[in-house]
Amino acid sequence: MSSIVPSTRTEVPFGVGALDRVVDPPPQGSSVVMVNEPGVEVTAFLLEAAHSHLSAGREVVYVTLDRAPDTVRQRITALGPLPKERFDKLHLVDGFSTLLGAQTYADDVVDDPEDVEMLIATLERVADEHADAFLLFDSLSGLADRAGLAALRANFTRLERVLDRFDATLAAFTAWPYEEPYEDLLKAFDGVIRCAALEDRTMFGEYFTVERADWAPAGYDGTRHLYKAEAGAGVNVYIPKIVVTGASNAGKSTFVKAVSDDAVSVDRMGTTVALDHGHVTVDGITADLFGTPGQVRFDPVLKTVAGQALGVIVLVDATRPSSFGRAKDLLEKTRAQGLPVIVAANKQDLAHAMPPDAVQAELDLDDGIDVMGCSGLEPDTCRGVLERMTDRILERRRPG
Amino acid sequence: MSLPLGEPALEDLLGDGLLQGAAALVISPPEIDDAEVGAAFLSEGLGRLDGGILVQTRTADDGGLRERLAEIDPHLADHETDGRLRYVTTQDALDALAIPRQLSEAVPTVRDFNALTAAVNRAQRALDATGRRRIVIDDLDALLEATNRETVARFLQVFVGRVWRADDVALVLAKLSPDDPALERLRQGFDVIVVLDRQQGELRAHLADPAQRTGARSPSQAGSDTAGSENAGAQSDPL
Repeated sequence: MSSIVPSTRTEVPFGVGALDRVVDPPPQGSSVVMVNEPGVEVTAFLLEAAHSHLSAGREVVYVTLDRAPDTVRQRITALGPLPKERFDKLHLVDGFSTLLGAQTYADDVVDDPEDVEMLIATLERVADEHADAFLLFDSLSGLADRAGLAALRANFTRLERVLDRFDATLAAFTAWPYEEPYEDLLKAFDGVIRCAALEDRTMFGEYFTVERADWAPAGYDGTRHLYKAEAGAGVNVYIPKIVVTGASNAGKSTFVKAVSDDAVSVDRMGTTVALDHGHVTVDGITADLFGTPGQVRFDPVLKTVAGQALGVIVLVDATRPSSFGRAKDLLEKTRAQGLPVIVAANKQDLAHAMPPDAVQAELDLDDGIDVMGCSGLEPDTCRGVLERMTDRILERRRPG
Repeated sequence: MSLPLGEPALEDLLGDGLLQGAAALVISPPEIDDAEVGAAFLSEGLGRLDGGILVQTRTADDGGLRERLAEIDPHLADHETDGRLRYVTTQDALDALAIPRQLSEAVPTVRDFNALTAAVNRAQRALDATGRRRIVIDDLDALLEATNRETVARFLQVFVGRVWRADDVALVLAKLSPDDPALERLRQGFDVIVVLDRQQGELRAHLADPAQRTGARSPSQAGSDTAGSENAGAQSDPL
């Protein structure tokens, strides 16, 4: 999950791993709306933002219109333990319970959740006491469903004014097939992030795009960032495939194990015969790594293992220059052309290992291919290679 | 391809059944046990090794549609063990109806339509390997009680669109009269609206609008793909 440094008072990070990796932090007072297709859940973003800001000791106001306040509390605490004094900084505005006639222990209750003006008046009171809070509004479409888009539009200027009074606002809006237009309402926000599904017969993945971020002069290029919301890990940018290749005995399996939270290797007597797989979540990124077998006789499976990769890490045994030719051969066979490539000069823990710059010279690589030293016995060095790779993948998705 | 419905009254009305990708809204007065129709529809499919998804929107005193399914299908436990039947319920219903958790997608409340839509999608994905899937929503009334008609109509519009895209078949059960003004909005997107009643003790079915046979094949239409193309046209871009 995202860890945030307390606000500098000029920029307010979202507190969501995936967003903070991709989007520049908005300035204080900004409001951002996440617009999701029906069935794509964005509440996970809001809950992670709540958890991160509470963890950092900041006040959080959470407006819940679609689920019970207890559910919100439970889902926030499920993201990780919070000391009581920090959890107490969560201020819940309940626009749900009275609709069902349910008991509520929220800090503020909207008696008539179908009344937009009543909800805004409640928020105005809350803003008087908690202006430094990060406001999470879940959701604007819930309010539109309840009161009607016409009523929401009629009161939108007043709503906008109260949102501006908080330190920052992250709101959710489900783009149901409304009969009336609603896009004009989104213009009031400083940023718009769209969440949608990748679909075949059914939805099999979710992505977000930064449609607009008024505080980022370069803008964003509309790249689709896959993301995953995982229990206990929050929402992270998802990189479905990074290929780890290299000659036999270059240390691929050890590398995959060193950087992964979970890893498995299909091997026979210590030699990979099918693939290595590892899954890792770090710094707002969650990624799957696939290691290819190094022996020539397994080359027919390379295309399958390496297909649709977003980046390639080539492991070379820095103590064995005679294997470098095979590494270049694999680079070609894994169709790494055009993808971010990093050569990891492995086994740097050994005295006779060639340093990265010597490996670079020996390999005679194209410009733009980084060579980094690492050792499978020192996981931090391997993580450094992975972090550089994820940075390279995300760099390619940003303008400039 | 049309799928048999398992209930004689519906078979009589719709001939070969519902086309893949079609969704039917089945309305009936309170005294009619429409769960019987939903259970027969699911059971018929499970017997043909189709996947089944039951969206149970309330905690029914009588055990709900799963109880009916257990009554008519002696192989229910096998279907569940094989993972071909999945449930979408509220957490309360999950506990009250003793539905196996590993077969369920639970939502905190049916009022959270976005979560409900996502849960149905997860259930669809879990059954991707089965190919054909039958979905029953039992029942629409709980959704209407939870919020307003317009919101439910939008949820249905998206649901029906996803059924069409995934090439599934769906029945949505509702205790509504054909004269109910809510029907005008709720019916949008459905391929066929079936009205159930009982005559001389026998369950009967007829179309709310006899002119509307889109998505269904009457005996006279059997062998023709006309209904299917109408179905596709009606659902061109539900989202």
